[in-house]
Amino acid sequence: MMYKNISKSLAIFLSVVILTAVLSGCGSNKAADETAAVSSSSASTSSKEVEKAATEPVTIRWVRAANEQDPTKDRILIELQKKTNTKLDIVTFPWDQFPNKQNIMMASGEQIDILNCDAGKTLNEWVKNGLVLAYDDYLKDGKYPYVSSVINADVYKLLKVNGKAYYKPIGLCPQQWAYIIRQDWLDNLGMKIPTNIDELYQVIKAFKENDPDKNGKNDTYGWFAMENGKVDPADVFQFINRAYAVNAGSGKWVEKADGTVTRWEVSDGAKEATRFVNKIVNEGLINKDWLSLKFDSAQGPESDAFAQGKYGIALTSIPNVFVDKLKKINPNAKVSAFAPINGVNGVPANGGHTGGYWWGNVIPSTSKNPEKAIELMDYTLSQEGRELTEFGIKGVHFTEFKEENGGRVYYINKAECDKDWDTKKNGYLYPLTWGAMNYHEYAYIPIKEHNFNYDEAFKDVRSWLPEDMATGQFADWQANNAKYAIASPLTNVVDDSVLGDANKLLSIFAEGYLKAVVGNSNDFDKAWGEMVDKWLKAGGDQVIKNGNDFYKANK
Amino acid sequence: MKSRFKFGIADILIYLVLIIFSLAILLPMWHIFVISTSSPEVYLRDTYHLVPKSFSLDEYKRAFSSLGGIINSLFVSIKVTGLGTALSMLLTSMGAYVLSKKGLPGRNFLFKILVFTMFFSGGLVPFYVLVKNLHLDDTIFALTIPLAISTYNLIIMKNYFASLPESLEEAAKIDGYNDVQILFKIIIPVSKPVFAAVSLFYGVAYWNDYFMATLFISSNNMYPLQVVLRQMIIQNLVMAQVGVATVASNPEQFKMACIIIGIIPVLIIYPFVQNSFSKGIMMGAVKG
Repeated sequence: MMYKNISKSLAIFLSVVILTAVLSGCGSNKAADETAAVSSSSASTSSKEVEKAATEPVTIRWVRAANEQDPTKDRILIELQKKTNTKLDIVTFPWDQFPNKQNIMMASGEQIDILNCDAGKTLNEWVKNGLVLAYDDYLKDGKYPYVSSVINADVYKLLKVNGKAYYKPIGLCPQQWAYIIRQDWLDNLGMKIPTNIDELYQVIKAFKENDPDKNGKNDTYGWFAMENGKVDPADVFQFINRAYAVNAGSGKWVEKADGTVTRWEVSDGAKEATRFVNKIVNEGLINKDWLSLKFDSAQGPESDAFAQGKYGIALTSIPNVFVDKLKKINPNAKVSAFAPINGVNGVPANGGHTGGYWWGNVIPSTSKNPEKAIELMDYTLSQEGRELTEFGIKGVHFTEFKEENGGRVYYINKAECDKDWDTKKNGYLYPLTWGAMNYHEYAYIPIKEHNFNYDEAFKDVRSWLPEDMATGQFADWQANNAKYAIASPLTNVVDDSVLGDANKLLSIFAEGYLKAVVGNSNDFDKAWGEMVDKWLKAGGDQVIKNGNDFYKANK
Repeated sequence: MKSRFKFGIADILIYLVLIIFSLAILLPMWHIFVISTSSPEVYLRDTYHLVPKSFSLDEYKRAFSSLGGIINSLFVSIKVTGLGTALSMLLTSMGAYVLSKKGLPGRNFLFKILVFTMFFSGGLVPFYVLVKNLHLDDTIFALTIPLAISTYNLIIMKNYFASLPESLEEAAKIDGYNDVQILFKIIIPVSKPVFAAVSLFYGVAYWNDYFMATLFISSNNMYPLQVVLRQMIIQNLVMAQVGVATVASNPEQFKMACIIIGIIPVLIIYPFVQNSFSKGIMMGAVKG
């Protein structure tokens, strides 16, 4: 009986093994066939095939998170495919899954022609393993001037890995986030918009203690923050931090008087800025629940609280939404842009810097048509391609545009736009206007007009707005912010040795920073010193050394 | 009769605790409902109120009118749940039944292999490659076949089948039934409670599944409800972050509306199966 049992189970086990072997055998045969087919087709360049390739659309498999447009139905994508003789196959997945999914796709060697992703450690790893193609090899004969000008721009030079460009950044205005302030509160108190750190303190104090809304109740805050969920805890005080260092924030670099660089976290400016924050926290000028409130980058709760008049100084990327909500409750409220203040010790008024890009395109080495992929990107960067991917087709999605102060205002045909995309969510800008392949805001970079000098063109970005946006109070928000955007040293650096173990360093900083901020002001120096020591010991000193070497070498 | 309605102090305490406990669950849900049906002005003036002061279905209209539509994804979810549960029940019950038979050669070995999968897996990338190479990706089968057998549920069913008296089968055998007939005509009809319970486990798992869809589905019209609801909320966030959100929207109210839409189908179905649900969990537990 025992023997029989064993022999039977052995038989079952063996048959499973054989079945698996047969199945996997089939799979690998098929894969081998495919590679053979690919190599034979690339080897034989008969005139027939060339002819066929010239007329038939080339399939481009493009991986882009959070896409909602269907290339077979959306008229703008149909037009784009016609213009570039491509057949787009857009692979998409929800936004919050994109780091996961792109890693799996790359690791499994899936065929992809264009992938939208972040620069940094993951990409460096792909480059090391030969998973992505360098753009340089395809740009030599000058066929793709737009892509070439972006790749070789000075602003993006630190994004190259080992001197080669694997990443084509998508341009972003230098700063989209800035501050607004309740002008009517300032008027009630007889104050002016602060221009230095002392005046800022007076205003914060008055907003908390002097009843700026004149309702007889102590129901306002001087500073309002939502800390929970922030990656960088110092971010909610960025306005204050930048008064002590240019483009302050964790991960950023600061130039010292002796010409060397150091990380912001351990700089003197960071310490003094945090001392100021510690003061307003200890004096109760900030909302009491600032540590537990959950930050929301869509700024829903933030704008709600601003509209309710809980606070008067707000950080936002969408000022018009804040003002609209506020006016619904309080039609007499007035809001002004709050420009960065003049810093201490000669730090210029600055509003931070995005590095000039957000997201980018890479071409995985599994791409069947890297040339065509670059050609597609090249087209979207041209004036014609930009217009198509921002507003749609002339005569359908928009009727006309008028030139105004160097920019353009487009007259939108709302009914037609509604047919192609969700205008309730995206407004009357085409959804793929951002995070596709070209400049993603409501603007056009005149690359050709500047003889394909991207750095010059980037300073001359022209706003292209739909008519309803051209009328809001803050229509020139991005252009205004750009005036105060000053990049710090080593902005955009992706070198592994300069980044170090970024997550570990950040968590040490975050813990020490919050401890110092909420602690007693008498213990501030001690708490801050402890954080700095721990940070340097955890690899921070090596990062600073590598950063200095890199800075010198790339100056 | 008199004593039945007499409340002791202990009873009052018990009821008090229960009332507080259910309020802790009900109040947030009610708050979500009230906010989702408020008009934006009222919501802005007072973000926390429990007594409805206004009524507006704007946010619901917005959710339902979104391109790529909630309705479509609702059908996808229903399809996935229906097909998945049927497939799972068929495979799980057959597997569990076979494994519950003591006479099965190599039963222990097979069972150990099965349990092994509860603790170890090949990893995400091989899993992805497997499903991809079977050409299941971007089809409804990618959301059902890989999840078809849950070892945990299979063990519950196996234990239940093992607890049935052997004489039941012997009687059927004498009457001339073969093994397949016994399973479908004798065993399944007497196992209704465990079937209801395990179907519910599977059904809820398929309904709530989010990860498989993000992994294998790449067309918008194939997204199940959970993915679409999340996408609606998160996309707003991304767009504001990069500074392209221009529409004066109420993301908070919109979120609340999405939550309500997501739970209503479950709320409708749950009361009908709840009875078997609690019964079923006890089923497999009796005999190990």
